[in-house]
Amino acid sequence: MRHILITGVSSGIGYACLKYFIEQGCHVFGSVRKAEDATRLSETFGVNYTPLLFDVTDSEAIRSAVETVKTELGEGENLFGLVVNAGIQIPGPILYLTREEMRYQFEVNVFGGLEVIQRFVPLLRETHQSKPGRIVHVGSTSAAITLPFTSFYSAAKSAMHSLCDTLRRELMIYGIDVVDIYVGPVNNDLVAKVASYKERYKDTDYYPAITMRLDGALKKNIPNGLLPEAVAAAIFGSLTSSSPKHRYALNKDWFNTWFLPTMLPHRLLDRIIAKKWKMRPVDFGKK
Amino acid sequence: MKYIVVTGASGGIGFETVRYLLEKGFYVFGSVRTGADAAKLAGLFPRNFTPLIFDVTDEAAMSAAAEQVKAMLGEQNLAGLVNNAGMVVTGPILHMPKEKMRQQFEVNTFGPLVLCQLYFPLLRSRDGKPPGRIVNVSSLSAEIALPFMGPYSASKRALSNLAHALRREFYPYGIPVIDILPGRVKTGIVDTLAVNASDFSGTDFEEGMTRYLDSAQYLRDRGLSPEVVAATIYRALSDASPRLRYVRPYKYFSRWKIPVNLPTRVLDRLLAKRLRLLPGFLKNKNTL
Repeated sequence: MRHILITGVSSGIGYACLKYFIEQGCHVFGSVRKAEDATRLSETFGVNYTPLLFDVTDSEAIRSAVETVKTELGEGENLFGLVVNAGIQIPGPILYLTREEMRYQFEVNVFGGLEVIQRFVPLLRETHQSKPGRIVHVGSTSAAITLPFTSFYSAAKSAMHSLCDTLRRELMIYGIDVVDIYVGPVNNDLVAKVASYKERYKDTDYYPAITMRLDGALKKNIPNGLLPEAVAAAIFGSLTSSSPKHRYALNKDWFNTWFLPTMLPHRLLDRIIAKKWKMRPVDFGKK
Repeated sequence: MKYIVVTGASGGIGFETVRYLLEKGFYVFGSVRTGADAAKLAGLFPRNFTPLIFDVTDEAAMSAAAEQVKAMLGEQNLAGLVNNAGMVVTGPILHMPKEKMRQQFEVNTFGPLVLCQLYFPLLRSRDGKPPGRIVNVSSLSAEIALPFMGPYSASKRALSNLAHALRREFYPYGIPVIDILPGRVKTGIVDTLAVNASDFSGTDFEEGMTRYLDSAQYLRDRGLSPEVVAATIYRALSDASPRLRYVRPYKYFSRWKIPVNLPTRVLDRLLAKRLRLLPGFLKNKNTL
């Protein structure tokens, strides 16, 4: 029996992974923050799912989740995989983000994610009957393509990318491999959930640009994005492949959401972005 | 007269940058954390220099310093903000306490961002004067995450990533944002590493850490001189059309071109072999 731990399974990519992995015959430990979600998922998935109740920012809760997993694993069993998926997105122009918001973005996506990895590494290690498990970080293409108004999310994802490099090199001693998956636009409600943020910036120069970017995302990028099921299948592939790449970039519209923005010269991309979202000096006028 | 704010001016790259910019005829505000350092610098640089006292984690002190700069500038613009202050947290990432991770990012990532916010009103174009520039001193570690440098590499990676965001968001205001990636620099950083090493004895990374620190000791006097980085910062502030990124490796091929162009899995193995991180080096095979 393959045991896989996924953080943040209540919705989105985490939920899709939970469903897909169980269909593939795995047993999944999935973390949620609310007890209702744990009950709901247990009712849906039965014995193949073990709920873990923790917020990735809560060190104590993570520790007790480690104990839960330890007791559930049979003699000689380890975790086949750890999928670090839980994350949040705090959008907004850098100029107006508070230090508290910067902290919280990193507290969840970076420090929280890292702590989960630190605590569960002992359970990923080789046993007399199982090979060492593998860690997959659910990253984002925004780690490589930094757009206005999602700066801190990008920064957190790129910090995690760097930590994946470090982890991959340092955990080689245990034979534990680390894979970072850059996920492009996904057809889910992540952006819709935070769309109301733009109202906070009503009185700033950035308001028209933020509105345009959000509308573009909600009308075009998101509906045309990857299906969470496709992401789940790719994550499963990276967990089971005998020779995984260190990084995967998943994009539905590969040419426009990955190839062009990563290949174009930065200065040219700067100008394209500025023109597209009316962020040229002439658009802001002289104030 | 052009006015520049340089953070972390008490030593290393910051100190050299202050000296270099003064020689080039700038007026420099240099931030230090203690009154003693402020007095020392004020003594060394009697003309065109004002020390500012703040730690990049202390928002109240940062705001007060920004007010001080604003009052001194009057109607004039700030020509540049050099985000140089930084610190290094090292050790195996598996055993890194959260508190240390936080501290690393507070100083290297959040601090510079808050300074960009605070000095934005002074940097932006006012009354037809040209806008000032933001220069962030990141590190080659942002591109090459060496083992045992996890927290530092990640914080610098985030800072370099934010340079793109800043550049794009400040584009309409005409404020250029320039990222500087120096390689190993001859500064006192080795001494702070030695303090951290003992924290990880008894772990599976002890041997690797020891080797890592030995090499750090060996490389103590090898590396870029801080003047090279100071000259690059000057270029970033004064070139008519600055590059968006200046990379200054200690050795162009062996420490930059080769590592970034090797297949990642090959680099992984090379680094792991050198730092005793291959599975064969694991002494304690017992798990759980």
